[in-house]
Amino acid sequence: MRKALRPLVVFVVVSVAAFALSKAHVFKPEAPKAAAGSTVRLGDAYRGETVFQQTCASCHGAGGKGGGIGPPLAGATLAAARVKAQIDAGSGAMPGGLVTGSDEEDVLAYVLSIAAK
Amino acid sequence: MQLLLDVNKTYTDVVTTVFSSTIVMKAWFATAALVLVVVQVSTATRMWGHLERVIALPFPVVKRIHRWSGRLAFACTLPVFFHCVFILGFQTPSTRVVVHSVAGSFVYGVFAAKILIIREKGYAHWVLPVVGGSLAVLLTTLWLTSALWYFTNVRFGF
Repeated sequence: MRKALRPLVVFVVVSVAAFALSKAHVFKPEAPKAAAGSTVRLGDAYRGETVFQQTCASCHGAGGKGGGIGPPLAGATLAAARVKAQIDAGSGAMPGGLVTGSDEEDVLAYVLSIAAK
Repeated sequence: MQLLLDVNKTYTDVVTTVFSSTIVMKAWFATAALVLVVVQVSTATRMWGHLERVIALPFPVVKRIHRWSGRLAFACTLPVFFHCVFILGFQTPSTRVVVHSVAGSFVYGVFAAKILIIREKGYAHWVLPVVGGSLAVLLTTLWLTSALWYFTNVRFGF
């Protein structure tokens, strides 16, 4: 009987450990910081990557590396407030309001994470 | 704290030497694991006396393929597991992510139980297929809620 329960015990212990580790979120990356004094809110860069690939990559290229009608963003010098203004209002071929709300905050976090450090 | 931040940066730097992003790498490693899961299920079925005409290989060869495909599948999951657990963490922003997070919490538990059952003899005849099948279902669920979603909703590529 005790032997029969052993796999169940192993299953529970390992699963709880995996759950605890994922809740502990040991290497959680800090959101990139907006410039001092800026009121721009930054969201989750990883969610922002997904939104970016869906909405922005057709012009700015996969990973913001360029290749489309929009300028490359990876490695560029970008200020959070300027990027937010560009997303909100658009300019040139880029329409304003392509992403809004929490999606915009996530995209801002992602774009700043690929910008020049 | 700097050390913790460097882990994420180093991981991303290494991964993006080959793939365009960490998420793309995870999608492809998960896909490789899923292909190996298919091999696992097929060879396991053959070892239990089915599919003998489909997989016309001697038993020792099938056994060796099963073991090595399992090891490779496990290896493919490790970099994905590391990123999911240590860098992204358990998240609940949508149903898809909740299902993925919960299934991900169980997968190594089922894997460890399966290895124990293989090593220790004397369990009921149905236990190993049930646990192995559960592991295959969990890994398929993880792939459906991550890689398939990414390839169909975001982009298909490297």
